[in-house]
Amino acid sequence: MESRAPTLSPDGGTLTAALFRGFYPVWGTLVLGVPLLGILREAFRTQGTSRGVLDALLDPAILTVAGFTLLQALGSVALAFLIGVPSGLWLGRRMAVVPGWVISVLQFPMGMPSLAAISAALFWIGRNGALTQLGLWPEAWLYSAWAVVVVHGVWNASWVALRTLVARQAVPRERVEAARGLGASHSQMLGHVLWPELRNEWLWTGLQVFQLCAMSFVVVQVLGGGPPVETLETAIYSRLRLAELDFPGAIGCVLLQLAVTLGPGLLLLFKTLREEDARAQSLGRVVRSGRRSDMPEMGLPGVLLVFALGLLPWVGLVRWEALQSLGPILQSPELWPSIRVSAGIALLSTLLAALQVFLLIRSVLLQKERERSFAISVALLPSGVSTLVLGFGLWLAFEFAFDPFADNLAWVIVLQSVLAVPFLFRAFWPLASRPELRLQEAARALGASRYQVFRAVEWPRWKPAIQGTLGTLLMAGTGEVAALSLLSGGDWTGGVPLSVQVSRALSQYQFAQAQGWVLLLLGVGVVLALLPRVLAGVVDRGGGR
Amino acid sequence: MDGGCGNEAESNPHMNFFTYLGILARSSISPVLVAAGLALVPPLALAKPVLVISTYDSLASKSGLGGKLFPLFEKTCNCTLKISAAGDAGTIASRLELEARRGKLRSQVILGFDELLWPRIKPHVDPFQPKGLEALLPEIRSGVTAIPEGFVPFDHGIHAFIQDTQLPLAAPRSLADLKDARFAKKLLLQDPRTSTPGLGFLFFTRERLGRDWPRYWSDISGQWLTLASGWDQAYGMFIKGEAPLVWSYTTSQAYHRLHGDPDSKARPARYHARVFEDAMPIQVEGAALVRGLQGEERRLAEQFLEFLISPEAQALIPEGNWMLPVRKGVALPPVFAELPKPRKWIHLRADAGELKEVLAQWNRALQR
Amino acid sequence: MNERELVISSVRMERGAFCIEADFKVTPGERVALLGRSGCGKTTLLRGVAGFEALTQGRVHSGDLELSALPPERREVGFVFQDLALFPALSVGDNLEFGLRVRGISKAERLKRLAPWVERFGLRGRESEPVGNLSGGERQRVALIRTWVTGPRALLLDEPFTALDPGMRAEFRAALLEVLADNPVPVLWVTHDHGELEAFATSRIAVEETGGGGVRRFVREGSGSK
Repeated sequence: MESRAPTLSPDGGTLTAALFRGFYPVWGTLVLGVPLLGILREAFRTQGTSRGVLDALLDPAILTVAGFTLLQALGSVALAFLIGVPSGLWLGRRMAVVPGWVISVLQFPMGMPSLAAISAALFWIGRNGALTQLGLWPEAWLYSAWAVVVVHGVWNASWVALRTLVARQAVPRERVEAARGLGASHSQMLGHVLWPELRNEWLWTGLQVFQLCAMSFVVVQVLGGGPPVETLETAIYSRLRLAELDFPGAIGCVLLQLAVTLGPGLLLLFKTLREEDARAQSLGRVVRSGRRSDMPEMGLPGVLLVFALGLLPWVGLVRWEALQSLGPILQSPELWPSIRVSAGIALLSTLLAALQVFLLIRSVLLQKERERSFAISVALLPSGVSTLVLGFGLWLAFEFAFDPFADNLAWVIVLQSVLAVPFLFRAFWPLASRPELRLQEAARALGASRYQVFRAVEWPRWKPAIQGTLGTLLMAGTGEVAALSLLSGGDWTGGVPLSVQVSRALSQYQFAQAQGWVLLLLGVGVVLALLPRVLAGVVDRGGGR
Repeated sequence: MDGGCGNEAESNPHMNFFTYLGILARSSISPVLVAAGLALVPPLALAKPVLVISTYDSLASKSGLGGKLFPLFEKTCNCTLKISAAGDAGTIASRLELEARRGKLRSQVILGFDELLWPRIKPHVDPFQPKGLEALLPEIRSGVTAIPEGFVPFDHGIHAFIQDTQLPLAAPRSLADLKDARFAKKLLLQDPRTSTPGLGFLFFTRERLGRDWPRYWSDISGQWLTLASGWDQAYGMFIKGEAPLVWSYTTSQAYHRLHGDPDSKARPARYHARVFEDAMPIQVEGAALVRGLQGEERRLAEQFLEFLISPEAQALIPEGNWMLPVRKGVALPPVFAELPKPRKWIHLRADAGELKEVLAQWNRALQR
Repeated sequence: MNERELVISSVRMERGAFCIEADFKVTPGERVALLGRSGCGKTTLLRGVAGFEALTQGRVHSGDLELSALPPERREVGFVFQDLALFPALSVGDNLEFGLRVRGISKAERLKRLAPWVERFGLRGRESEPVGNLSGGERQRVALIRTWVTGPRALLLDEPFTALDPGMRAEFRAALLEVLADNPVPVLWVTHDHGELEAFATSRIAVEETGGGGVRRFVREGSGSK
């Protein structure tokens, strides 16, 4: 006796269903509500007044910073779209199927740690940068708001191109051909055929990029040239670092930060949720073709464009001195412990994030339609909260149970996993919320068991998303530094994480060696990023006969 | 790994879930180590007494000062040192404050704060003065007014601009000089909100310019290339040639002399430390005993502080931490001896609450 | 072997605003069309027989086997969807083999069973292609063969001719008749096209609405042409 609704019914009465349904509010409370309240409580307890929060909220300097945060993020999104959308559309016209390597290359920048981004940026637009020396980067723009916007824009353009490309692929070919047959020009095609399909994808990707840029810290601080170019994140950092711990002020900034980063997101969410089309948003179908050839139909220009988007901005990282210093690093006794610890943190935090997202998706699916938007907003909240605040908050809230400063990586892993949830959720939700029911039924009608149905119908849909997003998270996780520097202290007897090796080398004048550690970190990140692909291959082979 | 397991047993006698997760994290990486670690738990619990020192990360690192200093102490004290490393000095202070509020102080010695951070540290430490303070340099002994309050200096650095002479530029001779057009976008400074040298520069301007300091900052806002988030960011950019002047310490010159930039008549060195004619700020780093220690813990902590200013420890400072020792009569390597010295040293101090106020004022000055 | 009657006995499906009632039999060799306007519930009933919709009351039997007690994957009832539902991630060959593969049949045996159909319907040599490469008619045939080769007890077709042009309809009709000639099973199919009725149905069941559309009863009419 089967129902035709998605497999999870909001009215399901079992205990398991009730537990799942209650998961998202519990999760939201634990990982966000409690930490924020912990900081608030600390603020009242010690600084005794809510005026501190209001003062920060109404401080004209802070409001200016909030305004700049917003502007800079919008500008970055605009630039990322300006580069990424035409590229994605152009590539999409030329490819019947998106090869895996294209996805990997275009995704690569998303996993880049900020440490590397500065170095890579300076190669192009530093004082001695390639573009500066060619006169293509004006001196007035060195270390200015422009530099920030350009770096953000270029960094994220590749992701925008990828999402555009994949969404373009999902537009049924017949529709495009029909339009072309009717004599539609490119712009008419874009307006009438592509726009409805791509619109939601662009809104969501734009939001994602916006949030990343609004929360940006190191890039803005260094490349922006100092105040008034700064984001709310800098304002928060300055309240929680050298001067006394200004919790009320930090809370005020966090509230503003939430408003800036999530405000537009929530509006979008409520508007577009009902119209989401999973096909346009999944990372594309991989149609297994008999052709073994990897050479896509996009030809050399396409290949060059892909490399230009995904790899060209980062060539500055591969410096000769850095490569040279890799030698001694590779012979250092600290090498393998460092790799193990960093890889371990990345793997565990990614797995924990995936677990949370899985539970959240189940929980959201069990909510009634009306409550789903709210539930999804909760899942997306961590992307709008400062790492420092969340870290402090978790510590204040939970340190009665444990000491995060003991030589204990568990909390770094927890914090990192929470921060990764919105990214994963965003990638998996469209797939989960619109399962291919018809195909599932067809498979069942043919006699397939639940597992066989999954393998034949759902796995091919999920595989690219799993490979892509888990790969990106793994790579980004190896470069994690914010959570580490805050929540973990010890003599790293188990191995010094790679990002800490970088900062240690830097603080001891060993700049070339620091770059060497950065290269190693990237190398480890790339290897980890390929791991989901390898495992997916194993799953593929395991199912076939 | 072994130390990690043992210390978990000490600070967390009950293996709660998260500790287990932490072990699991490591064990999933190396199962053998877990077995070894667990086997070691009982013996370590009965082993030598432990002294927990809270310090910043680069000092704690094996290739830094800590790599030589701590083993040296462990040899003499017959104890184990456990280092609790924070990201930087500010984080140390934050953790100390938060721990103190809960009455659960983890460490016995705080190491690596300076005079500007002292107001945050002071309420939580004991006004202990170790034996041997008479052997300190007189400028330090008299200049660091917090010594009677428990501030034990262990090294100091004289701030200076380091100049890359590959780019022709006359060195700045004073703060006012920096306003000159020839320095436009040629300076690399640090953000005082996130960097101690940066904070030092800010307080230096305040000290020298009195009430005019906010205007000074507005005036020089066109002069810096950027305000880096920390010393390492700034210096890294300096090395890459982004700007010819960076705010650092005179000892940076010593580093360069010993690493690829020797000075000779035939081939003059590229990097030089520049001090102002009249005065330069100095940063004194110190250590202190946490309040409320008793018995064996206290004895060990006191012993460590005395060790810090002993000749053996002080001799490690120059090439271990790239700072200057605070003790008289410590033989300096030649490249340290030839570092420029300002006519006058300025100690940068702040009262409780002053940091916050000054930074807020600074922010306002720059927003205009 | 599959000479079983498809019996829909006292079936009632309540769907909020309306409810569907049906009580009829389909004998092997019969091709019964479910007729009615759009949205009257014919597809719902068909899906109920297949097991994708819950029955509020009543049973469905195929010979001795009570289908309504089984989940869809064990009913051995062939279902061809209106949009065909070919698996886009699998090749033509994998689609064809799917039903046999999930039954644990070896590769060699699968190919052996498919060979005559592949040959007969002109799909030889196309096995490694993606399904997207096929024409509409070819896809229809793939959908039919992949179901048929599993030896179903009954065949359920949801608007099989709707998306086809007249030429393709004739082809598909011929294909259907060919497979059924080998092994006549009860066929229940949904349509709203009267032309096809004439050409393909042996009898028809139309919907009778009472209670202001609240109750829709599927009642057997006289037989159509062969």
